[in-house]
Amino acid sequence: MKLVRLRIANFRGVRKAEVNFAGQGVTLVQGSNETGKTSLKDSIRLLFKYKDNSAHADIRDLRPVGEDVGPEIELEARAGDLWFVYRKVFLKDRKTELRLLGPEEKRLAGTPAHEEAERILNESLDRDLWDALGVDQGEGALQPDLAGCKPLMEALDRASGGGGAYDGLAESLFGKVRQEYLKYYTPTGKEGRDLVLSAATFERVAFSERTLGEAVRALEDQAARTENLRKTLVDMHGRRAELSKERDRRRAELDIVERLEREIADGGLELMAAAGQLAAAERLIRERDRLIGEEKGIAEELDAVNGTLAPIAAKASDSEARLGAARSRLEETKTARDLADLTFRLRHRDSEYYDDLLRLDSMKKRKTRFDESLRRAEIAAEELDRNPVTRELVERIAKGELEVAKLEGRLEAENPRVRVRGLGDGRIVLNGEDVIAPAGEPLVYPVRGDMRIVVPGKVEIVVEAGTVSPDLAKTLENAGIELAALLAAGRVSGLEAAYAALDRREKAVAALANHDQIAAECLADLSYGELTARIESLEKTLPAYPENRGDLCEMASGLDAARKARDEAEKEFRDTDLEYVKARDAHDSARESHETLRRSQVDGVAEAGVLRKRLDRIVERLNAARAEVPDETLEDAFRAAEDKAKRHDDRLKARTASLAEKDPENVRLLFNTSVESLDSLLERQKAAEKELVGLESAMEATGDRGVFEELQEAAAATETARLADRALRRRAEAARLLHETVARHRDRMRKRYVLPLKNEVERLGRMIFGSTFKVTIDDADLSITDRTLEGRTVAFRQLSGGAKEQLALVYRAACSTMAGVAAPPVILDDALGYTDPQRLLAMGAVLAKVARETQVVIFTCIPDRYRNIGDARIVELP
Amino acid sequence: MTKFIHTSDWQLGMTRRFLGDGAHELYDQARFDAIRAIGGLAEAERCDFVVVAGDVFESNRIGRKTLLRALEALRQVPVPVYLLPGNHDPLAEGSVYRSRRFADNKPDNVTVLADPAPLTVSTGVEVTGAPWRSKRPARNPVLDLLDALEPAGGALRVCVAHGGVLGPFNPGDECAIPVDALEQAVRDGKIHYVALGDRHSGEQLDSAGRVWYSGTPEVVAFNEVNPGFVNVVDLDHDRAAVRRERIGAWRFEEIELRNLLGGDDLAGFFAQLSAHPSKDTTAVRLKLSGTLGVEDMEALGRRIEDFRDLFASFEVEEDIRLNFGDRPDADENLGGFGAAAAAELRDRIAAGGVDAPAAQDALLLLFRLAREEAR
Repeated sequence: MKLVRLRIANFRGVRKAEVNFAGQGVTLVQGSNETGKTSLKDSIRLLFKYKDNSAHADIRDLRPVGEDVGPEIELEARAGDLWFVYRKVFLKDRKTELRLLGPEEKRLAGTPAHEEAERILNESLDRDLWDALGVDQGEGALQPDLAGCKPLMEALDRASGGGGAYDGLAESLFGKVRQEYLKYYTPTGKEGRDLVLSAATFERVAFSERTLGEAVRALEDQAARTENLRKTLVDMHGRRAELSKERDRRRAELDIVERLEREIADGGLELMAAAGQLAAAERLIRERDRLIGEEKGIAEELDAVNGTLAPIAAKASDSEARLGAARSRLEETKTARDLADLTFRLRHRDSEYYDDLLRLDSMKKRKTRFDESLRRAEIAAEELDRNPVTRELVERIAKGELEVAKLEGRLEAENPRVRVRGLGDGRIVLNGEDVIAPAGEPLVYPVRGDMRIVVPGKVEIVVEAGTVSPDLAKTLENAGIELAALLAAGRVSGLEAAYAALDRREKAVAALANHDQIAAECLADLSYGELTARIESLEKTLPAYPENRGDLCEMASGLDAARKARDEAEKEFRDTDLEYVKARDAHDSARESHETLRRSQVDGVAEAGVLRKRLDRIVERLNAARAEVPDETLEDAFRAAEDKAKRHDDRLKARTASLAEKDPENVRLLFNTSVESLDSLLERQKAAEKELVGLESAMEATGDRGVFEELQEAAAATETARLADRALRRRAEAARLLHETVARHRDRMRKRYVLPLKNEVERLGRMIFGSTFKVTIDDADLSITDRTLEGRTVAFRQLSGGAKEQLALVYRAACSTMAGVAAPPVILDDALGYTDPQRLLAMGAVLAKVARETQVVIFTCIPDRYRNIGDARIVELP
Repeated sequence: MTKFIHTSDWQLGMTRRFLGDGAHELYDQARFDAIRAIGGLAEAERCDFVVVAGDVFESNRIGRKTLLRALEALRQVPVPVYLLPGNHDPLAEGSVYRSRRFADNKPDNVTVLADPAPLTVSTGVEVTGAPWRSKRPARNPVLDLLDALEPAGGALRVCVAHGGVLGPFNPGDECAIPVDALEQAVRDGKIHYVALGDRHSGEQLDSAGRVWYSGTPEVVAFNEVNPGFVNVVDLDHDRAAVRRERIGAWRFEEIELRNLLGGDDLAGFFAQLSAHPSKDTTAVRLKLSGTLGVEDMEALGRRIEDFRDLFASFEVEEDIRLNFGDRPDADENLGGFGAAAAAELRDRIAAGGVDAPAAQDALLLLFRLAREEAR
């Protein structure tokens, strides 16, 4: 179809606008904003789409604001050899007119006009393609969906070698196939609602059937159980009768056994009674026998006692005589012994008397010696008190004297000496000291100081010492003083005296030591006082002894004699004592024998008395008893009791044997068993009856429900659901298989169409993008998925707005050129808004190429964009 | 002499799976109506009584409603009715005949043959029944009955029994009845007529015409031969006349059409079905096999849909292959990849693989869609 002229009036904000299109090539409709470009473009689609009486929003929106006028569209166009003018007025003064100008003139109005125009349009162009190839404002970057466009597909089919794989009807058929498929499956291939529901329904009713089946089976089981129970109960009834019979039989047996047992028990009691009687009779007899025996025993005993009494009396008389003799002998020996004893004691004292005499003498001697020694000791002690000279002192004196001597020697050598020589027995006083000047040898005195020599009554000579050696003299003086001190200490006059004193002292020491020795010897273990006391005591007592000792015997003379007499007296005492002891023992023995006999005699008499009394009592009792029951009667009674007991015993044994034969334990066991069996059976019977009642009511309840019919209905429902599900699945499977098959063939076809479309897009695209331009076309919807430039591939969606716009236009151009003469007019509304001038240049060339085969109408407010299109009719809108 | 109705196998409470809800209600009602019809027939024929030879009920577990409806229908029978417990409703534990509800609602004219002792039903006429006491007795109860039975003397004695008869197909079946034992008992004068139940098709079993199956008075299965009748028995010592009277209103028809070759084969059949007088009380089980063209095939499908709505049940089991002939006329509406897809499906059908039936369905669907699209 080719557009010739388009006119609109009262259309949105446009009061009136009209365009005359170029018959061939590009028509460039230019005008400022809001001059009606878009309205013009839109009007063509609205003209065909809506009837004049449409109240669609698209139409209502056409009315100019505030004006009561009807929007008007008029299009003049050619389709094949048809030339027509189509006009519509909407909303007010509605009108539809179709004026055919050729090949035959014709006028149509109203619906027929609309329908005829519709027909012309559908026959002359593919409306999908028409819609797809146009570009509305702001949509330039979008790729059109061209996969369903018949002219394009036919063109692609031809370009891919023909074969008629593409078929418009097939394409729409595929839609139906797909629709059919989607009745059963989801777009992702899962089972759809109907299939899922069908399966669920089937499962639900099948479950119900299974449940009811179980209920019916349970009911059958209950019925079977009930039947079994009934049979069991019948059996039990029979068994109960049997068991009752059995129990009765066992009861009868047990009765016999129990009767026997009772008889045995009674027999036992009787036997016990008889035995008691027998025992009593026996006891009586034994008692009588015992009495008789006792009487006899006592009488015998009495005889025996009486028999022993006479010899005992004779023996007692003898023993008494023997005792008298023994007693006399004892007294004799005692007297002798006592005398010997007294004698011995006296002799002993005599002996001691002599001893004491000797002892007194000794003690006196010892006392005397001690006393002498003591006196010596006292002298020595005095010496020691007086004499302090010790050996050490003597040595020091000796040393001092030697020193003095030495010094005197030295001084003497230096100092003058006075030599005094007596001329007789004269006495002189030297320095105040009387000195006997011996005759012969002079006495030499050194002169150390002034020396006064006096011859008493004669002269006094004073020798004055010089001062020859004062130091030495001093030393000598000191030595002398020292010596003098030593001598003073020893209370001696000089060394000789000192030695003499030392000698005395040492002797005194020895004397003291000797006294100790003597004291020990003399005193021994006594003190001196004791010794003295003893002496005094002995001296006092001893002299009186001879007078005072008595005259039992002559006192021996002298110690030895006394001792001898003592020893003899002692021997005598021993001998007499021995005799005495013997006599005493004999006496004791005789006395004992006699006493024993006496006691026997007394005891025998007493015993005989007692026996006599007992015998009397027994005899009395026996007589009394016999008076009551004679001995013969007792024996008869015992024999009778014995017979009776034996009879009872025999009978009891017979019964016991009889009972043993019956095996009472077993009989009792069998009876108990029969009772227990019966009880157990009764219990089971009761339980079974109870269960039966329960089952019957349960079955009746379930039976009322009609579970069997419910099951049958459920089974029918299951079958119905199964069939329905099978049928549905069969249809679904058919739809699925068909969809799968058709889709596969369609895809295969589309794959074939990809190459020619790709070639055309690339051919046109290279005019803009250069020789390295390549695209990838999607198999399924034939859209561009990516573009490659200089070897670099970018997905369509990642391209810039300008590149998308250009590619989309190239794609439309390619589709249009592929569709060829079948291509509808390409109408672009302000496309290429993002395209740079360089590319616009190339786009112009592309559009010019498209325009060689297809009418191209471009609405724009920027005509400069399209100045490179070349041969274009330019229409200026006012 | 006496005159009575011999019937059996009412199977009340039985459900037929192939009947839809509405149809089943009708069917159920028809079976209760059959009881009333028997009552009507008994009255019309002036019968003395009715014997039902077992399986009065489908099960001992039937619901309350079924039982009450049955007893209500029996109440309307104007003569005494003697019911024999059969293998479906044995006189076992939980037996419907022993239920309290049965006892409470049993009409006076109804007697359960619970005991083999002969019952005097009218002067000189006795009925003796061999009730089943379990679903699987050790041997058929009638054999015990016959063993114990004394000759009837002057009385006419009707023996009511249930079970299959011994034959070439069930040798050794202990529950089956040897017909000669029945004939012998007849000859022995113990019984004069044996009213048998169990088989749903009526049949005379002996030469003397005294041993009969009555069959079910209303059809219950497709494989029954001549169901829907009762026996009206005229009995005397010297003769037994049995007349088969139709009671049943329903029909279960199994139809098989083999080797269909074209629409012509179908047309007559469709006409016959269309003319069927009582479609709402007829269940059809149709078996089809053969080869049909696409259009015939589609026409068949449409007709089946129609019949499904008309008949009480219309089950179809088909094994039909599509015949495309020399020129695939059905492809007229197909072009492009649609035609290619159709060709592939045809190949699959021709290959006859497991998916051939599905391919056939798919192809038919494609044709239908293509035709719709072309319109």
